[in-house]
Amino acid sequence: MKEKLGRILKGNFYVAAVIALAGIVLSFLLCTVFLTENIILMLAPLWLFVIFAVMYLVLDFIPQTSGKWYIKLGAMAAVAVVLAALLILLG
Amino acid sequence: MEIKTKLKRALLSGLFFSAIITFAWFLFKSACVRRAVVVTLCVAAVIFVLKLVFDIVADRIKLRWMFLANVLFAVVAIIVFLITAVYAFAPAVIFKTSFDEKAYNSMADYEDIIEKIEINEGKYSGWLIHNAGDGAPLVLYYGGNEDNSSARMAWFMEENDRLVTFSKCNFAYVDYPGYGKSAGTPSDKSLKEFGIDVYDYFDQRSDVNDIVIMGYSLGTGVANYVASQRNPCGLVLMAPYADGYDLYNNKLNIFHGPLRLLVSYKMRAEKFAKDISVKPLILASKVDETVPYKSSTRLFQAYGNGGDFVTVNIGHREFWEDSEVMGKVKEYIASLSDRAD
Repeated sequence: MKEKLGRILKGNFYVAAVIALAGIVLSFLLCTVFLTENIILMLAPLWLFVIFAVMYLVLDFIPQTSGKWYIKLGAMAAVAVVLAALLILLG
Repeated sequence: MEIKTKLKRALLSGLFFSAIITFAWFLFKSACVRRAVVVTLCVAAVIFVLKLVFDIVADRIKLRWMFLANVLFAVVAIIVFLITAVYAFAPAVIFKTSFDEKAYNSMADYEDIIEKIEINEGKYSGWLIHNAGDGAPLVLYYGGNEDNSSARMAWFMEENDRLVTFSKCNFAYVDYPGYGKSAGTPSDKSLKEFGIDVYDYFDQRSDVNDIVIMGYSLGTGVANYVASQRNPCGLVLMAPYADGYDLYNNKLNIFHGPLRLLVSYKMRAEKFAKDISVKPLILASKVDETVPYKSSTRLFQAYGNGGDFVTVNIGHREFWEDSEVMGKVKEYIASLSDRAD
């Protein structure tokens, strides 16, 4: 029973996470659209989504980083810190 | 690894980092934004758990058409998120809290004329200009959005003739919750409580006899509410609105019918106007880009005892600078003093 439940949860965790995260990003996007007047800041959640999705694919494509999840995560986290700092300072 | 799996992970990475960075950014925004972020995260957690429960139930009852069920769940979840976002984030768009530190510090130069006001053990903070001595009428001002007491007081002090309008009275301005040095977050409820607390504070002071309530833009709703609950000797409203729905619809014209339920800042000034006995002076502009002129006229029609309605042709931010507006305010305040004499 426990194994079955675990299997169900593991199999559906991805969909639940995507729905929850997509909802959060959509809500944040709605807020930035009305809260800011600068076109870049206005669609910031959308740009961030595109940047990191493309970044993941690029890092996955490069042979030196493709098999190493910790390098991908480290690089993305570093970019995330820089972008967050920029948004806080400029926005 | 399959291309499909790679795309899935890229999608999840994009969403995850977008959410995290925007979240970090919002933490440095106003209290209204932070509160809305917390609400959004709570809703996300609930939807996440509901989705897992939904999957377990679907497996138990051996639900067919699982893909369709997932799509339906996602659509309902996104609608819930949008509703939450509008309800929670709209106050952050409506209330633009501000604090002018330079102006606040400059108040020390005017200690002889400007008194610092702290109400409810420092919860609300503001200033009182002793312009006409004890016993003179007090103009209690409820300011507009993006405005704060220190900046307004500094503006008065910049040029001598700016206080001429209030030459025979004292002038008080206390910051709304979340504005200036006042604690809390602005909302329909907190602004009403604030309005009453501030009025009662001045009403109980021994050096204050008559209070004239004055409101501008956002503050006209609070001014109307306080005037309906208390008994001021006058009411001056610059760029007033009939209710919060008009402010929302001026930003995005969708809040009609059932969508009115999404409006969290209702502030039904039109309803309060029916209980106000004093005759107000209303100043509204046909070219006001923030408060629709129609909203001001609708509000004016709600006053049982009538009043004076003055139409001007100036932008929303020009009321304080306009000589015609200030002249009418001065005349109105003088007429109240004459009546009292």
